[in-house]
Amino acid sequence: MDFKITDEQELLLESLEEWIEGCGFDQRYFDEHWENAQFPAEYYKALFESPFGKVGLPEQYGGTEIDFLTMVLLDEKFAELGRPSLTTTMLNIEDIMMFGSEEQKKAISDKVDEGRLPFALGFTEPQAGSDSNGYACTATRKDGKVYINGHKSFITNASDTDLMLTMTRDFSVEPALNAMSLWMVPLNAPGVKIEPMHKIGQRMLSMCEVYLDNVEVEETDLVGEEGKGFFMLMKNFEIERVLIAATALGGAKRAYNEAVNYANERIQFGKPIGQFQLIQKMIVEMTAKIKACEAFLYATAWKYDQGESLRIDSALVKYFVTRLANEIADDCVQIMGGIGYTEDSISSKVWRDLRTARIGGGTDEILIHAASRPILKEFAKKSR
Amino acid sequence: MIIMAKVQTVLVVAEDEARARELLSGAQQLGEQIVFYCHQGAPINAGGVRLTASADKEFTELIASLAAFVEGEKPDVVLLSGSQNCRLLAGILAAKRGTSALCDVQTLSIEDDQLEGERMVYGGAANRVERAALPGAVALVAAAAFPPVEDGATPEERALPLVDSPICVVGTEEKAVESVDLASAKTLVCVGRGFGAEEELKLAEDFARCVGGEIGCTRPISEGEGWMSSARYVGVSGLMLKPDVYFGLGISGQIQHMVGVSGARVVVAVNKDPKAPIFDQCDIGLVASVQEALPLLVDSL
Amino acid sequence: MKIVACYKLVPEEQDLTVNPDQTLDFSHASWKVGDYDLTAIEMAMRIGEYVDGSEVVLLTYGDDIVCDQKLKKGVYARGPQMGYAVKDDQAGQTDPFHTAGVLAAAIRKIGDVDLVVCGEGSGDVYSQQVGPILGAMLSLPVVNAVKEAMVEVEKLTVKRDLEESVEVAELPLPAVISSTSEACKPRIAGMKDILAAGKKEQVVWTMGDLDDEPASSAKTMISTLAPLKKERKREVFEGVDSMGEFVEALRKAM
Repeated sequence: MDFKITDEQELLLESLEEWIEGCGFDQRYFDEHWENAQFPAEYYKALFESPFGKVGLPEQYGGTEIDFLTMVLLDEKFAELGRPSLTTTMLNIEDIMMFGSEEQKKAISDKVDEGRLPFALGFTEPQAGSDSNGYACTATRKDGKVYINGHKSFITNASDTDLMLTMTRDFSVEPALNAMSLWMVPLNAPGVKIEPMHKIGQRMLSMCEVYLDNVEVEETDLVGEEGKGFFMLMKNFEIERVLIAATALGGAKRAYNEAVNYANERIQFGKPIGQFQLIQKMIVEMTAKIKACEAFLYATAWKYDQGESLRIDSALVKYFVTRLANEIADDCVQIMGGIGYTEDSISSKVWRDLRTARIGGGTDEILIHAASRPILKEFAKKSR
Repeated sequence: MIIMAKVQTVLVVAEDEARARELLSGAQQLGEQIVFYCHQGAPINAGGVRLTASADKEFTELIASLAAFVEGEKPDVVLLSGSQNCRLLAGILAAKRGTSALCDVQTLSIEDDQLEGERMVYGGAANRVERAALPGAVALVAAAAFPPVEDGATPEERALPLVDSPICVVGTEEKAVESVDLASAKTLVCVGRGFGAEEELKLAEDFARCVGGEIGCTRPISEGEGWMSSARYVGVSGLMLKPDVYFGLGISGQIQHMVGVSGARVVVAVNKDPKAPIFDQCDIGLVASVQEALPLLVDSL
Repeated sequence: MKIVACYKLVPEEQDLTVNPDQTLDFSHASWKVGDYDLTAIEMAMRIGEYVDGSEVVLLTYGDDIVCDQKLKKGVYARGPQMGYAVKDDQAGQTDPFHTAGVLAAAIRKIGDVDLVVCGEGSGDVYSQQVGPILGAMLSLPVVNAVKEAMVEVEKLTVKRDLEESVEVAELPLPAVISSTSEACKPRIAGMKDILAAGKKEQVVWTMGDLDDEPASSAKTMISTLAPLKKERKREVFEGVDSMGEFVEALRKAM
């Protein structure tokens, strides 16, 4: 087993650091956008134009194809440096490129060329979070047009972009699995109402209620095959789980770097607090957790690159890493003390930002459900 | 410093009068006969021979002629100021004489029949002492390494023989640069990242006026933010100075800047971070933000 | 048009430690390409991109470090097609005259070089001399402080960042130039550039491979020592409330 990342991967991460250092957006810019819940559009535009923006998008669309482990390392590094990445966006775009029509591909391509987020994912509904049986949004045909009706909730980036890839359900089809379709809905169309929600963390990316009241779209706005929406959605969900874990680990490292430095500098009772055993316990445990997360995360990514199934591991690694990342952030706030409770510290923001990692992209509970059955099944097979 | 020995001939080359005067006093300590070329400024009455060239020639175009002069006359030592063109000339001279120039030296002396100089290396982390064989040593001298020479007897004048220059100056573009000579400032007030906005620099300017000091800055302020010209940048790759009193306002105390003023008699620091390295390197310090402290200081002084 | 961009590998100065006898310890330092050399490489690339059919090649001189694969990939990822390295165990003891001599011999061996671009100065010693000395050794026109350079037929037009002005000058090719530290921002290496870098050829020569034996310099290094810290009084007052005492101490000192 070779546990070393390659020279090329190291150089790529160094190159990313160099780009972030010189891209012209300093920490103040991100702090202000985070505080004011503003989308850092200028930064995203620069990111699209950089060598790191289109990583993961196929070459024919101007992207750079890389192996999954390298993608994971990059996403982790972005988070460690406190900067948003575009990797998940690229995965979503790749979906359209695979299933979409030529016009749809062009529309998305054009947005990417302009340096703009092309679309938001409109799946979740008030009654359909973990339970995909709860989808109620519909697409009804009338007089040659299609009318979308429904209420989407917790839609990330809805107010930062122009389009929403909307999941609808045809109640006349059973089972629900085969009743889902995807439509590219323009968010400035009449009948669309967007209400931003107030998140406690990840504040640079909007999260919105999106009300669709008889929103008129064309037949040509159907993405891929009718009824295959669910299967198109499933295509990347496993690697998205791994990327969420990568970003969570990066964030945890960011807070960790601040807290351990602080432990060396903060003097109480005549010495740095890092000299006290209870602080040392936290530091040692955080360090071990980070190493364990790295090992599991990178091994999982490596498996994907070997063509192995991530059916169980993607659930396990997201569950494991996001939980530990949250624990690490919590210890960091504790080490930072009073400052850790203010927005002046990095740890406090990371603590807030990371909390969503255990909920979005598959809640802890759903992941347990998703992983436990195959595990038990494997053992049941063996015991025969 | 007491110089034990002297060489015969020293050539001094500088672009402006202030540096030329400093080099001339250094040259007087090193050599018997001094020939000098100063490109700008009023004629200096020092040294033995003053070289002249026609006013319409740019210094760049005279480099070839000065190099030819050195090849012909073979002075024992050539001292140059640290301007870009002098660095270029120094390299050309060094190549011809089989040596490397002693660069940005703060001190010069003759030891064991060699020219010895001391300068900073590794971004200010270390002092390096080097010696160049004599005759034929070349040295680029740091600003303010020597005191300026006073006018004395009028030197003999000689025209610099001209040779063709492969470099042709075809134009000049203005550069937003202020004429400031921090090297002669007795009190130096430097500003750093503790100042969050360009408008806040006014607080430092008021303070500098109050203490009769000139303003300098760290590299992030000049090259990073562009709030001050690079002529005011004090640090290892900018100006290295020896003021009497140095004020570091909103400056953390990184070595790249601090080496520019480590020779100051008194170092005063104002910074809101009690952990700032500058407090380790100061004589008097105040832990307070510059925004708060400066107006109060101006009132008290 | 063949352009040679020179670079030096230097220790990361943040990693330097000081021994009890004030000498410097590099043994734990990581190595990198000098920042100013990356600027020179970028300038060479930009000049080359403007002239059809030109190539930019790299040249360095150092000890075994020049063959370090990761460092090699890092610098070749910045655009040049291939490069050369002169490797010698004694390279650590070099000075600008000797370095320039080695580079000059290498450039003669490379042959048909139209332009040499050097950085403003090396990241460690920063003498800012190699470019000028190299030009003189090759008997080529040489200028430093170049912030912009453009090639026209057989001649180079440069903008030089001088103290009081920006000077526009022309010099015939072939020539040697040194860039300024801020002339241009080095391009960021992306995945494709980094992957390609490993496959680019680096020709490694020993001193014996060079046709001329570079002369040794008449300058010698006597010592390199971390300075003894001037003992400072370190009278530090906390907070604006101590303003009065601070001002008192100031008055006494000034």
